[in-house]
Amino acid sequence: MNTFLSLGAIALVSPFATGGDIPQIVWDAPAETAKAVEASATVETVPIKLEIFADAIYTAAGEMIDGGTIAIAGSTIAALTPGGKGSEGGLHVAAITPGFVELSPRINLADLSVEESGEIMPTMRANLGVDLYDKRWERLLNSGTTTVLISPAAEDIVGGLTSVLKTGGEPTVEAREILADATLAGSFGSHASRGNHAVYGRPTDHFVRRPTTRMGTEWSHRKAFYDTLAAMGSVERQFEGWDIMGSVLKGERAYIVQASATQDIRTAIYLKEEFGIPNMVVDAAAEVWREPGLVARSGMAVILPPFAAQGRTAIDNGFLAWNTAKLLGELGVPFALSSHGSASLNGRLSMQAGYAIRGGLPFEQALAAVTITPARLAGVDSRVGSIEVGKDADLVLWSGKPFAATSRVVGVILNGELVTK
Amino acid sequence: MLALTLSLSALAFFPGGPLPQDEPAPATVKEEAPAPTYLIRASEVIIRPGESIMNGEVLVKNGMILAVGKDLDAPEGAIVVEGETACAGFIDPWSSLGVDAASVAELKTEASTKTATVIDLFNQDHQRVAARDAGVLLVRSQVGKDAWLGGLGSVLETSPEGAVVLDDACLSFTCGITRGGRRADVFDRIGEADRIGSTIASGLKYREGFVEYGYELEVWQKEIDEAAAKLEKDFKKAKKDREKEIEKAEEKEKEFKEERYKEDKRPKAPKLDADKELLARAAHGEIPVLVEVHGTRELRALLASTKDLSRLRLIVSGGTHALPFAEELAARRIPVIVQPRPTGAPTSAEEKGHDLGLAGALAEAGVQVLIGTGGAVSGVRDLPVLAQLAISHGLSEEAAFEALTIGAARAFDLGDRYGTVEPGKHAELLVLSGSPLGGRTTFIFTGGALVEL
Amino acid sequence: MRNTILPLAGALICLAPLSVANAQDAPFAISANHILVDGGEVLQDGIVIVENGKVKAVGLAADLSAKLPKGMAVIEHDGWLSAGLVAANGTMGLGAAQDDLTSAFTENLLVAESFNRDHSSVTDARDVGVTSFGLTTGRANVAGGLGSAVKTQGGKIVNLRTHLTLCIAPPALQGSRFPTSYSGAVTALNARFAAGVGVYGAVSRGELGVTIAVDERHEIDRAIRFAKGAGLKATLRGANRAGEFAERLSGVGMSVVMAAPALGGPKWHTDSIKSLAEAGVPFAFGLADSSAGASSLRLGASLAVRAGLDRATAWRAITSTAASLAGAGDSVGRLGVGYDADFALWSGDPLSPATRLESVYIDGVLITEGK
Repeated sequence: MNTFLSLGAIALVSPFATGGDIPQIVWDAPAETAKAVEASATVETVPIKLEIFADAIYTAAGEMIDGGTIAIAGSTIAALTPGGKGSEGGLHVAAITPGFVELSPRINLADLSVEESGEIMPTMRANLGVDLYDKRWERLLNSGTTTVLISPAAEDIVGGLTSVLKTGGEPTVEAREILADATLAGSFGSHASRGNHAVYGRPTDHFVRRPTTRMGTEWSHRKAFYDTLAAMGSVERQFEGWDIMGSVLKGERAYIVQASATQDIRTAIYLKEEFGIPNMVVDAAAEVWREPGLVARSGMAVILPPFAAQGRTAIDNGFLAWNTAKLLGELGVPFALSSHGSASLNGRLSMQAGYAIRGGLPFEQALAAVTITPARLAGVDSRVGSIEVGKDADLVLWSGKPFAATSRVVGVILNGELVTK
Repeated sequence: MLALTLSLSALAFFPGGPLPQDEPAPATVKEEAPAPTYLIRASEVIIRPGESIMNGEVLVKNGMILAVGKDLDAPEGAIVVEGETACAGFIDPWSSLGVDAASVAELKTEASTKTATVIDLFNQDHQRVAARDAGVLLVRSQVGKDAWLGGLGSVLETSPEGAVVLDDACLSFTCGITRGGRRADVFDRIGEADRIGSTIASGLKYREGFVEYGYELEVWQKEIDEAAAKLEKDFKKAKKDREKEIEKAEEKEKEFKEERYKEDKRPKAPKLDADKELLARAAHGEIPVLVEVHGTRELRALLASTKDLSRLRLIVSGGTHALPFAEELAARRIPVIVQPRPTGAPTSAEEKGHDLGLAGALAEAGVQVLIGTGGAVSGVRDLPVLAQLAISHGLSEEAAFEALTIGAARAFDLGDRYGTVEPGKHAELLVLSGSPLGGRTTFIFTGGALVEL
Repeated sequence: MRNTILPLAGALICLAPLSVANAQDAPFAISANHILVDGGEVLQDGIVIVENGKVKAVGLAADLSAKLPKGMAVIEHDGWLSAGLVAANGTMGLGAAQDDLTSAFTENLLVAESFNRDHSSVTDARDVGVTSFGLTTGRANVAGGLGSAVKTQGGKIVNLRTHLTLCIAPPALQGSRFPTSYSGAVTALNARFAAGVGVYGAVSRGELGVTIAVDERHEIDRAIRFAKGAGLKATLRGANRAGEFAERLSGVGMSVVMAAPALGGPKWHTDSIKSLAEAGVPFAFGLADSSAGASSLRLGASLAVRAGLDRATAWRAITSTAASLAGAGDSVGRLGVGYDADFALWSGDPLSPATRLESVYIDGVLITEGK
């Protein structure tokens, strides 16, 4: 099948190019390259519209491909061909990784994204309160993050249902959502009880309620799941959203809770063990390194917060050691990295992987922690998270070895389309 | 409606000068194309308020009006521009176009603060273009919009090049307005008005000081010369006398004191003061002085404190409650720049009670009325609409048109160069479909360029 | 030039200030140099015949003068005559009591119960030519109540229950009661419309209109998604940026009531209006979501024309389209046979800022000399 480049002549020269080894992306006018795509399966009906050759393709689904071509048809990967040198004048980069999956972008409308009239709100949905016109989504996309999990702010015990969205395309939920009601969001620590208070005189608003302490937070969680068990047993005990809470108990849906300090992580683990919650993920779990054995035994997955310069992270001042990721990798605990939608260049998810590597994490595990592992935790690993034929064509193009300090993200492909910076 | 055509296919847009070059100039210098001549044909050419030529023509070259009339003798290759109406471009005498927000809000300006130094035409370029497209071709901009003494204003073009026509257009004061959300109490406000008069008078004194100095210097020089001449004559005798005095003093063991002549004391030159220099110019009527004042008490105090400055050229802007003083304003030939505000628009405390009929009422009482947009950058393009609002409440169409063109030009001493369509004046012209205020501009001649809309 | 009928009409008004029906039962006619019938249609030397407070006939003087009964009073107006202006929405006459803050859902409250017809905001609107408007709530509730269409004279209610007012934006999303989030508001509204009880059912069946107050882009997007999901041909309110969503609004059959452009206003506002016009989305100017006074309607329409909107659409945005979006499209907003005799008499073209209002008629009664 003949290949062709459907894009016109645009020369992109990296301003940081040191010449020589780092290849530049050069796009030429449609050339009649008679290179047949061989071996790998191709999508017969949709013509291939884009081909990229990279010196190294990190698929996150096996060994690194040392020199190969990715062919894109429509919005998916049509072919993955190792070997070759790339067509004359075609698209050529140093390295390609899958588009990053961010489970904790925290780009939301603050108080307006979480329903605070109650603490247990499983029927609320994050995709009803998201602002896709926020410029931060663009920034996220330009730095390589192609898929995100949006959730309500962590102010409620049970905040509601999350969704998985792509970070580019038309700014509507319909266009971007790839999995609705993906997981349930919850919160331990100080955030859930923040703002609640005991009665002073007359109760004037709905913040006069439990929990006001961590003890109350744990009680509220336990009560919610206790009520769920009761509702699953008897129709009279059913409450609004019981089925959603029940799906968590049955393992049909992951329960992603925020717990940063070691005491909160412990509390989350005890809750998991008490109710036998099959899929629990702890978000912003900075202090997992304090009791690694407990975490490993519990079988939960972890999302690490962004690495902080002095170690103290933003949520509940949880201390994140630089070798935490390495520790989790050695213990076999599934974990993902996150950036909390950081505005600064240093906080991007691509940099977080670099920091984890610097803390001792092996490269392959760092790659997995920003691609296939978060995709799996969110339940969209059949579509995104690795470079395989048939998956979405979400790719990050690098100027050198991915996550290295001297490398840059030079391009992002989302749903098969190159995103211009 | 006449078809709007250009008879030459070449685009008539003249970028107004070569761009700065980075590379060295080529070896052979290209011959620049000769400046084009334009022939404007319109069903009505409005020469000045109240005087038009039907089916008239205007000849323009190099940014100047060469001829106006009927059936003009156009040279070969003249570009013909046709439209329904042709008239002079509008002038906004009260705005802050081209000045950044911080400078506009600056309250600590002085007389010598020059707007021209901070003008950044491309600060809000889209506002400038919008103003130009609405027909406003000249604008008086001012820093320190709310400051008591805002400094020297500038008149600039809204043309693509944006030339500064005057960098010392006027001095600007405000009196009794709300600054930073607060309005001074009535005594302080009247005090502000009094201070305006006394400050300008101090400029007079300053110049008088220089004149005095010059005179004294002359007198002193004469006396020195006389004394020197006398000394020449009796030098030998004087020398002997002096030696005798010294001996006598030594005998008596007293100190010999040199005789001091009063001619030794050279008159001291007064200190140069840039602010006072400008105030002097204002006091002598060389540049006009604008004062934004609304209340009756402030106006009364202002008129009283400036009464004795006979050469001062005062212009009042705002004038919300100026009607009671119409007679005096008319007698002293003080123009009033009105900012028509639509009913229901939010107003500050001093503008409370603003009436759209103000312009019409003042004009009827014989005061020269001008129309301005009040100093906000975003409003400059609405100048014709403000004029229409004034017309709806009593200002005559002719007076409104005069206010926007020759009236404003004359107020800033530009009446010989702008404001009417006459040979020898700058070609700042509008070609419109419809009437000058209500119609849409189709072609604009400004700053030597033709802009086609 | 006025006929001597006017002092008589004035005397009649003084005798019976509030009973409009008695004041001018005798049919009369008004002739004017220009009659602005609707949008683009302008009659030169036209005549309007009024009977019992309604328009009996509109046409060229040449055609109709012969048919006038003998002795009928003809008021001659040197200028333009048009239908009285209609504000598509407004909170005039409500004073401070615009919203009931006890709950987020007060959908059964009638705004007309709070209407004070003598409030200065109502007479101010009337004095600039606004003869009727869509009375509506503020934005403090997710479901604020039921709006009406009222006249600016005599408190006459043209249509009592015209639309349900919704708001899916702050300040309806307050921090002290449910809902505090967009998600909560949409979930609750979806549940109510799904249940289909009471006014929600009436809205779903098309018996009642519905307006949704929003501002930001994502709020407009959310409102369109909600309306589409619930099958409602809703009217967006306050959404000055709605033009960016013109295609989608057209697809769902929605309409927009926004603030009129103001002097010195941003270009995106008039661009939004032009986009709506191009996509054929019905839109009108209202007063409920801006602090500008009633004179902003006519000024805003002329500014829109200056920015490139066609005259007909601009005129309809303050008359006939506004009337239909306010739920009174069959009674006011046009000079049509059978329509209420609400007129505004101008010194010139009402879409020019240089024109002044000379007098206002409501239900065939001369109300005021204009300001």
